[in-house]
Amino acid sequence: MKKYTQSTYFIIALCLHILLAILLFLSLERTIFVSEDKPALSQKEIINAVVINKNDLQKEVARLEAVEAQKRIHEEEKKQKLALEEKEAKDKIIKAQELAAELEKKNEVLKLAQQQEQKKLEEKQQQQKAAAQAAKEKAKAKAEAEAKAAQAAKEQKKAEKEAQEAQEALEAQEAQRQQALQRQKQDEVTRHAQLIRSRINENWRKPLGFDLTGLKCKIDVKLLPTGEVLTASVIVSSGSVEFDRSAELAVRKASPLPMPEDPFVANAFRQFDFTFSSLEAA
Amino acid sequence: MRIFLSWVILCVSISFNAQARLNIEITEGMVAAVPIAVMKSEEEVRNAHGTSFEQLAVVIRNDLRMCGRFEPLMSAQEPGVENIVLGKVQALGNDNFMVSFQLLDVYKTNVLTQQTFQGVKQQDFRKLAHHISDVIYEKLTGIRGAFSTRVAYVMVTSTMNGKRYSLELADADGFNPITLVKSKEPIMSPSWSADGRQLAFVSFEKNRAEIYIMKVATGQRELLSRFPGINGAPAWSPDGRTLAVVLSKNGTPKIYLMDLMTKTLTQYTDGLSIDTEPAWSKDGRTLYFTSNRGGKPQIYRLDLATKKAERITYVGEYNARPMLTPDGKYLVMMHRSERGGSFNIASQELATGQVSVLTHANLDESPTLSPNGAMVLYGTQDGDRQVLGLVTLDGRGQLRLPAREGSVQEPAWSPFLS
Repeated sequence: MKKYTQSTYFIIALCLHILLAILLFLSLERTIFVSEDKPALSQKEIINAVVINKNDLQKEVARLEAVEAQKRIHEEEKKQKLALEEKEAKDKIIKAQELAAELEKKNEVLKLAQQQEQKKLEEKQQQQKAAAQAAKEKAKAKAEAEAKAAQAAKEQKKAEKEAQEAQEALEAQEAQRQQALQRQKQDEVTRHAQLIRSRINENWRKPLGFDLTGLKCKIDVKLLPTGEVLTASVIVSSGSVEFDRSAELAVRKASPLPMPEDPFVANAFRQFDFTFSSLEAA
Repeated sequence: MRIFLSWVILCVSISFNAQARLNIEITEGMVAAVPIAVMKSEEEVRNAHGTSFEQLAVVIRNDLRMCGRFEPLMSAQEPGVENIVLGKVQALGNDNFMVSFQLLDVYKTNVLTQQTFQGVKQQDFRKLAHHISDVIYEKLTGIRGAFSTRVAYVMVTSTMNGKRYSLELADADGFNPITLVKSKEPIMSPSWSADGRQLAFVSFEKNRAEIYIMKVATGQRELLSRFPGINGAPAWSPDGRTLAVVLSKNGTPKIYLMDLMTKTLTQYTDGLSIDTEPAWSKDGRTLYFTSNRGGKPQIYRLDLATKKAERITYVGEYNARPMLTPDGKYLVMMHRSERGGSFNIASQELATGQVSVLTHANLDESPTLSPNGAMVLYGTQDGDRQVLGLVTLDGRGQLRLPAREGSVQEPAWSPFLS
């Protein structure tokens, strides 16, 4: 489009130049006179003038005019070119300006966007800050609550521990008391078992005539409250009739056995076992 | 009271647990014989013949005393009596008696056993008494009694014309002796067959050693062996088919087995040592014998299947004359300690090698076990003569059987006879 316009302009310019050249040709005679003042030109002209006839002159003029026209065309072209360039530059500027404007506009939009973004960011930051603050406060509150709870728990624990310790102390005391009782009872049982043991030992006639090494039997004994032997029976045999018999007899011979006065202790002696063994001394 | 003052003092523990039942451990006691009263029942009416259970009671008390485990008493009133035997003899006329007895437990106050025997003749009183002793013994010990058995032995008497030897047979308590063989020359090594019907012995009647076997009931005898040199120490195998003998026909005395049906001989030991006194194990697979192959006499065990001999005794410098208890747990033998000195009877527990010296005289020899394995009968010196001694397997019960005359040697206790 642009190109087309330029060539159109060019044709128009050319027609104008031709018209101008015709006009110039028509007024050349006066011009020649005017140009006689120019020595170089006139000198040469002078030489040539002699030889040059009117035709030649006309030709020359025409040539000059053509040159001039050419020059002008050139200039015009130059001018046009310049103008074009100028225009182009102008266009460029305009365009640049437009671009700049556009850019500006864009920048402004961008800026606006940025501003909005910033604003948003700030808002967000604000929000975050607020959230952080809130969280912080919340955490703080929580920590405080926890600390409080921990403290409370600690106190409760302490209280519980104290209570437990107190309970344990009580229980220990009770256990000690029970143990003491138990021990006392056991001591009493042991003491009585010793009495009974020596009584049985006195009455045990070990069998004669064979090796007693390794023989062992168990006698189950039931006593009357008076200590009299109700039953004495072999529950684990030694394998030797004589040995078993001697053990059973030892218990029967020892009847009645000494009974403890404490009914609690005596209870242990209502039914119990004797283990007879003869681990012969080497 | 025959109480053996051997207290065994051991620690006693009394264990008590709240949950478990009380248990009292008894480890001390006095080893003693069972006090037992053997007497006629109050119900017994004195009868015309003057017979009384007391005639049996004397025999029973003697039996029970002899075995070492009992302390027989005449009255139930004596302190410590654990058991009472009450017997009764009722004369039914014409040498026909009814004999009954009860065995009572004093502390249980119950009757352990009671038996009645009908149609008893007065001459059988001793035999019945031994039987009652067996019943009492088994009831109170759980072990079969061996009072109704017999003992063979060699009696040596001195006369104006030198020594006289006889092979004698008596009841286990020494009563009712009968003479089987009489000789001016030594008689040795009587040995019972497992069924108790025959005896093998060595006789020098013909001035050389000969081995005979003899039927006890009839006195009928048979010459088995008269090889040059020693013919000795016969020992009947448990199945009665084989006789182990010692012969020196090939040099030193060695152990041979003779098949009694075919009379074939098989030599079982060899070498230059003296091998003698074979004794059978109950299964008849091994022989225990005395050998000096290690220098001094010790006891070896011969595996009849492999003919390999293994030394058994290591305690003492001298061990000889082995005999196994019926349960195969103990070896009874003549023993002399490392220190030398006296020869005594000892037992060795085969499982552990533990040796117990049972007798303590100067020269105790020729041990023979009662068929129940509870007693050892042996020869021992009493002044210038030899008598028989009895000892329980724990060495605590000791008894000497007085010889009526002369010296008594080489006792051989019979198997159970019924």
